[in-house]
Amino acid sequence: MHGLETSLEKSIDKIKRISGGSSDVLVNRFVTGGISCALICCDGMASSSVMSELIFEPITGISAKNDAPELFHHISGELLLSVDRPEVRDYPTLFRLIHSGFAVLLAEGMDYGLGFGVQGYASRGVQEPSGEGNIMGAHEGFTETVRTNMSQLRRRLKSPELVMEMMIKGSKSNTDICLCYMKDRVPPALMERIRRSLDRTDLEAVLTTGYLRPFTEEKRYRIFNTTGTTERPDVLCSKLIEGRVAILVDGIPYAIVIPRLFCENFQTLDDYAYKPYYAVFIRWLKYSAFLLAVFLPALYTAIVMYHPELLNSTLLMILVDAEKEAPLSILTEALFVLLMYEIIREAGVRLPKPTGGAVSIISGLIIGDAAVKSGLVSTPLLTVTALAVLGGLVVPDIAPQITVLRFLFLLAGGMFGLFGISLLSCAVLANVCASENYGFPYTAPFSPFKASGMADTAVREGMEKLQSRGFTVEEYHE
Amino acid sequence: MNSITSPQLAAMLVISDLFALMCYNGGLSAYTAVGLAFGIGLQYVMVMPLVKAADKGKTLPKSVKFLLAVGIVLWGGALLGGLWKAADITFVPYENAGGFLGKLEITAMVAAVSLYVAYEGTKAAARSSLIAAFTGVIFLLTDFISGMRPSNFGNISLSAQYGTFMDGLRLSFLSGGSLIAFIALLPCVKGSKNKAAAMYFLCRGILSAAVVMTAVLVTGGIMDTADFPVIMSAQLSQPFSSQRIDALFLILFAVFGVFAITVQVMTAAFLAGEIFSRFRRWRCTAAIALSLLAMGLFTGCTSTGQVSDKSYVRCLGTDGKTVTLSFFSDERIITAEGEDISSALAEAEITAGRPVVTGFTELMILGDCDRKAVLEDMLKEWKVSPSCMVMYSGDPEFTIKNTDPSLLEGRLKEAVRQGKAPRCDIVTVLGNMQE
Repeated sequence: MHGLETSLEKSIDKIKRISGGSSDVLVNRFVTGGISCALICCDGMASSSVMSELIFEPITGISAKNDAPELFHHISGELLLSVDRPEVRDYPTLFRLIHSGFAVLLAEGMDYGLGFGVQGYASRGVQEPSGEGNIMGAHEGFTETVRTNMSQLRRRLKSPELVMEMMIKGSKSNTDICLCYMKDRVPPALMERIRRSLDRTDLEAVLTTGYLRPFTEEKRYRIFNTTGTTERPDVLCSKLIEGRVAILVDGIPYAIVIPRLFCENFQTLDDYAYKPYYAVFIRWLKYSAFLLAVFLPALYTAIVMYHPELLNSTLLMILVDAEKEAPLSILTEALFVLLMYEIIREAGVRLPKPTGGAVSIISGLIIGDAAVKSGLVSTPLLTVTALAVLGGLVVPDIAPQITVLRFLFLLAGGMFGLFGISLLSCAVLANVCASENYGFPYTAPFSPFKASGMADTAVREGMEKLQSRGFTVEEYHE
Repeated sequence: MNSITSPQLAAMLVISDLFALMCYNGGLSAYTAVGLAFGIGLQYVMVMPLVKAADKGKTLPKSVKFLLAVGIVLWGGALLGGLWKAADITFVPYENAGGFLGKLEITAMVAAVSLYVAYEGTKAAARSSLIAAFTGVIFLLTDFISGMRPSNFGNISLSAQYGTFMDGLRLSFLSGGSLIAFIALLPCVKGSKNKAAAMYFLCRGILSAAVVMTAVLVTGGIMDTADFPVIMSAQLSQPFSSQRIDALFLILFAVFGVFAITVQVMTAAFLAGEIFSRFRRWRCTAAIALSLLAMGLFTGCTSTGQVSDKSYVRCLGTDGKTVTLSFFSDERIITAEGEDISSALAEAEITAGRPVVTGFTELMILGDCDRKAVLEDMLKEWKVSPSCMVMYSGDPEFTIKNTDPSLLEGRLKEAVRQGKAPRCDIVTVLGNMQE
């Protein structure tokens, strides 16, 4: 597409042609200062009251001018119509701006227009995040509006070091993307690599974080994500202070955080609100829960099927009694119970909330109770599975990975016993240790081992010690 | 190759050394532990010139790299061979572990996982080795502490006869194939190579001595019955009185096996890349294939056992249902009964405790029986040599037990040579019977 026409009529015709006569593109013609003008905006995106108060009233009162450049010079230099006033020189920019809630002023004889930020579209207000529970911290979450999210960050980090770079991605969606980082904490070379990664995107639309994350992660197949997401501005601020980079996307109440480390899945902002000893306890509880979630059904199956000598006689007899009535093999039973849980979970997530209650009743009371009473599933196995599933919920950020790994380990344990579990552990460990993002090893600070990193991973030292450490994620860079 | 840290290098190589110790099937004693530690110290001194050269940025010539590559492939084969041998006594599900197919399955699975880990790259292998080594040290410490019962201390003196200082010294070199990997990987270590060397040899010395001492403490009294003393010590140590935890050792065995083989494969691939710069793809696959080939050479994995694990029959006497056997390298004379000659020989294998090989039988003494059927059975089923001589006796068992078989055989040969007795090899005798 080319630059704007100097003829107002031609420009308006072209706008109508490009938009295909879309009814939400509004063209308001008027004459001011003796020159024909048109204010172009998009219905529903701009606030009509703001437009009439801040644009129409001052502009229509302008005295006669000799020509259009004088008129634009007067508007630009003497009228403060809105804070955000970009110049518009081509049609793509014009459409992007009006679709973002701007009004664009065109005048007869001018080959550019003036944009005014008069956004007035409906958006969700700041609410408590639904996915990242927090007891002692702030209760504000990100919204779908990128500018609101930027303001939430700025409110918490009133530092000129915080840089927010806007860019646009998506050839059809023209989505606003904001790259946030602390310029004194992030090496310029790293920023350049991240920008280059984003430049590689050739998407038509950016509708969730999942559209962009693959471009900022390694190409090779990895089990865990090496970028993270958060819907909490306070969490994101802590990440930015640690030298990480964030990407805010308009229309998505989540920020992408680069890089993500494995240990971060076990950290919450609440850890820093409690006494260190309790925070350490909670952190180790989460590590244990993760291991239980992945390994417990597999270990149960492997031990009962192949290595019963690991159990003491009393426990063995209990299990023998319980499994005596079960018609299926332990492996089949375990797979059945886990699949049943996954189906119930998926049904609960996708169904409307009122129906969700019914799903809980059916799954908990009817299926669960009936399966045990009918002897289809043994009680110890159901207990083990429930414990594993609960363990997975303790670390929600990696719940998808836990689910898949749990099934894989179960199959390995059921087919090859502890030997199979050991081999699969080696393969998974190698995959996890191979994960990197822009040179940041996913398993840091465990491996490569950084003793200083243990202060906030293996344990949680007091704030006085942590503040003196002045940690940035750059310490882990290889 | 990507750079690795000193602890990562130490972890990779120590895992390899400890796995080699696990697969060691000789006797161990406190003297062996001292000899082993001394040998490791000696190796540290020996590699110092290389370490200093690496610190100065000097690289090895291609010919040396080639020799190292050959060495590492052979060492990989030795490790796979150790895994092959130890597979059926470790708790790899009992049902699957025994037999050729079971061992093949176990070795193939370990090799496949090792190959995957090697393809993930040096950094991944180094990082995961560090975590695996940390877990392994916790296992070994538990094992060591559980072996440190006062009642076990007597085993130190009991086992003294099973290994000498020199055995330990020899073991340090024989089980130290990862020394080749150390020399090859040294240029990839970040920072001071001297520090990396010190860390590796120190960790290796302490852990190897600890593992040997655990084996001595736990299995010292029954060392002569232990095929693999280190594995047996893990199987016998009981930190908790109410249950057996030996199956848990399998986890350590499998994990160490994977990483030990990965290190060899990775190092071989790295050296191959250094020697043949155009050889980029399939290097790891080629390395593991060569290691498997080397394993075949070391273990003769398709044969049913070692040559020394069989009893070779020299003289066989039978009345059709009872067999009496005298052997070449065994003073024992075994008598076994069965419904026919085949079942009687199978019974004799149980009595002998090892396979009985009849292919070298020099003399068969037949009693009152269906001689033609017996001879046919021996020739076809038990593959006796066509030159095996046949004679008759009313009581073959008495004859064998009371006459030196070699004397009997010598007399018969001489009689045949002088024409005083007819030719009596099994083929001639059977031929006469056909007529």
